[in-house]
Parts: sequence; structure tokens; C-alpha cells
Amino acid sequence: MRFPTKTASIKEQQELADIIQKNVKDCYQCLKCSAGCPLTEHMDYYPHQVMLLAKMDLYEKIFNSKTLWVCASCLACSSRCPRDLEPAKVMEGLRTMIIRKRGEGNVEVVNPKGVPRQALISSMRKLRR
Amino acid sequence: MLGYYPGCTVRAHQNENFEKEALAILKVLGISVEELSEWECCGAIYPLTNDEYVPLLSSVRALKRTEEEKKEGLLTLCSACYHVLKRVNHRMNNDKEAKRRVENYLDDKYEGTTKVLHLIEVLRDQVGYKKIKEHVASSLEGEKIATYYGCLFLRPEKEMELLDAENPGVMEEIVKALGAEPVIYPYRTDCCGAYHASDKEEVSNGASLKIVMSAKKAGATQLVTACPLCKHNLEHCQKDLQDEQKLPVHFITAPIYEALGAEKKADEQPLAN
Ligand code: SF4
Ligand code: SF4
Repeated sequence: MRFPTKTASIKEQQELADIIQKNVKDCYQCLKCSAGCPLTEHMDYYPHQVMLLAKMDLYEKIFNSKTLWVCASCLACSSRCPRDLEPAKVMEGLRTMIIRKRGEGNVEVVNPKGVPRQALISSMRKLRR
Repeated sequence: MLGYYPGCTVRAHQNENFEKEALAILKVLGISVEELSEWECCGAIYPLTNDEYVPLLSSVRALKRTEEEKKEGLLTLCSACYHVLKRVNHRMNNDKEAKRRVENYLDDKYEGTTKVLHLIEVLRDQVGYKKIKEHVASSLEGEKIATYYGCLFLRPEKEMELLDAENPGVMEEIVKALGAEPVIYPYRTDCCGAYHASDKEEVSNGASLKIVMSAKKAGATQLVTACPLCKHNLEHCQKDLQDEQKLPVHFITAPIYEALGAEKKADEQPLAN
């Protein structure tokens, strides 16, 4: 008889690590990512807080937060992170976990008219399946 | 001869003249380009996930075609195409697993010799500011031009390796060569809100308006960029302003085209393609 050796949260940790090949535990909470993020006013958790939640295996909190869907993948955080953790990539990994396993992405394209197709294609790729 | 990759957004918005102006400028400055015989959308955004390979395929095809058609590089105008093609190229040359899988899908090999180039890079490295200056037919003296770089052009810095992502200066140098005054303002490398134009307009409008206001405050008479989506966002966020409050937004090619008198010169000889 085989017993599962991994808890649910370890499974999520593993899933995230598989998708992005990064270890969020390497984050030392310097806040450089959040300090330069242009969109924090629309976020409920700041980027460094998302890192902290992931470090603490509090995935449900992340999955229910707005932040993942507000991040515009501008890579300012990734360019600046002294630990090379690429927080934008972490965000993408977490979004991908939701999109793949937990059903739909949670955004609608509301304004397709007159928007460059670059935006439509990008938002489809980033936020939906 | 450079291979030319128009990209779907630039091609689709012909009325914006980005392509027309760019080709005319290159012609005047003596850079020859030829559109790839076949290309597809690069995917518009680089996938940050490590376990997805299909989004890389169309870019690899373009890179491979450039190699096959023996072009000296692959030229793009759009910052997003540049970003995606360059990063996919980087990945193909540095990630064995990605290369193996992609080649497996395509059932073909990519040698990895293609160099991805942006118009601005060609103007800096292959033409040079001095030559641009020599070609100026009517100086833009008196214009105060704010340059906006956006994200995809600059970051991630260690892969894009084109400019100093925190304090880039190429577009300013070009503006100076044209006789205009470059306006330096704080948000020229901040994100415009990108794809949120299509799903959370308040996010992209807010981010973009901050940039526009900062450029205006620094005294700009116009704002220039190399990205079709940035241009859209920077214009769209001003929709509720009075006309006289609006800051005109152009592609970086517009002032160059004007200063070089490229329209007249290009008329004398038809453009490539
Ligand atoms: S910049 Fe990097 S190390 Fe610093 S808090 Fe953000 S993710 Fe952590
Ligand atoms: S990539 Fe996302 S989290 Fe990072 S700075 Fe940009 S918007 Fe903020």
C-alpha cells in the first residue's frame, strides 16, 4: 500500500517550481519588486507579498487575490530582483496554475474594438485559455 | 540585406504609417531590407512558463527563415515583436531542452545564427547619429520631444542587452540629431499598462496618463515611442482631455521622416516591397 507523502501545499509548491523553474524561498523580501511596480495601486497583495505568501504555502490566498490579474508582465520587477527570481515569472506561474487546473482565467476581454491586436493576443495568452 | 519582419499589429494598422515611414527612412539612409518570404505572428508576448513550447514555434520559424534566406539579421519595428523574437532566439541558443522540443515539433533544425534587430538599433549601430544628422533636410529646432521606451524594448535587461533599462538614451540621441530637444522625464521606462487596454482599461489608462502628464510637465510638445500598443495606450488615456490639453503621440519614425524629408526622397524612388 502506498501512502501519499506530499501534502497539498507541497504539491502546489512543486507545481509552481515545475512551471517556472524558480524557488520562491530564495526571496529575501527586499521589496525591490514592489517598490518599482507601476500597478500596485490596483493590487491587493504587492509583488513581494505574493512571494511571501508563496513561501509560506498560502496558495489559496494568492489564488483569490486580484494581483495576478493586474500584473501587466512589464518585467520591471524581474529586471531588478537581486535574487533573479523574476517575480513576473512567478506571477505567470501562479496564473497558469489557476488557468490550467482551476478552470478559467478570471477576466473577460471587454473592449476588443479599436484595441491593437497585440493587446488582444497578449491578454488572451496571459489571462485565458 | 536585412530580413524584415513587419509583425501583425504594424501591418494591421497601416493608417498609422509606422511601416511606411520606417521603410522610407531606411531607404534614405541607405539600409536595404527585404520582407521575409513568409512569416506569422510572433505570439505578441513571450511565454514566461518553462514548460510550454508551442508559443515559441512561430518565432522560431521566422528566425529559421531568416537563416535560410541568408539575411544579415531580422529587422523589426514593433518593440513587442523585437522582444519576443529576441527572447525566443536567446532561449533557443541557451536552453537545450527547449531547442530539442521545438525542433522536434518543427521536425527541422535551427542553427541559431540569426540576429534580431530593432529599427532603433539599426539607426544607432549601422547608420549612426552623425549620418542621420547629415541627412536632415529641415531641422526640428524648437520641438521638445519626450521619448517613451516602455517595457518590452528594455527588459529583461540581461536578455535584451540593447539599452540601459534604467536610463536609456538612444531615442534622445536620435531626437538631438534631428535638431529637436529631447525631454527627460521620470516615467519614460515605466509600463503603460500594456494588454490591460483590452480587459482592464482603468489600469492601462491610469498608468499611461501618469506618463503623459509627467512628459507634459517636463515641457514636451510631443511624445514618441516604438511600440504600437504603447502608442495606443498613451493616446487613449487622453480621450477625456480637452484638445488643447492633449499631448500628441507619434511613432519615433514620424519626426525622423519629417526631418529627413523622407516623403519627397522616397517618392523619387519606389520603396522596397
Ligand atoms: S525583488 Fe526579488 S528578492 Fe526582493 S522582495 Fe522582490 S522577489 Fe524578493
Ligand atoms: S511585471 Fe507585474 S509585478 Fe512586476 S513590476 Fe510589472 S506589473 Fe508589477
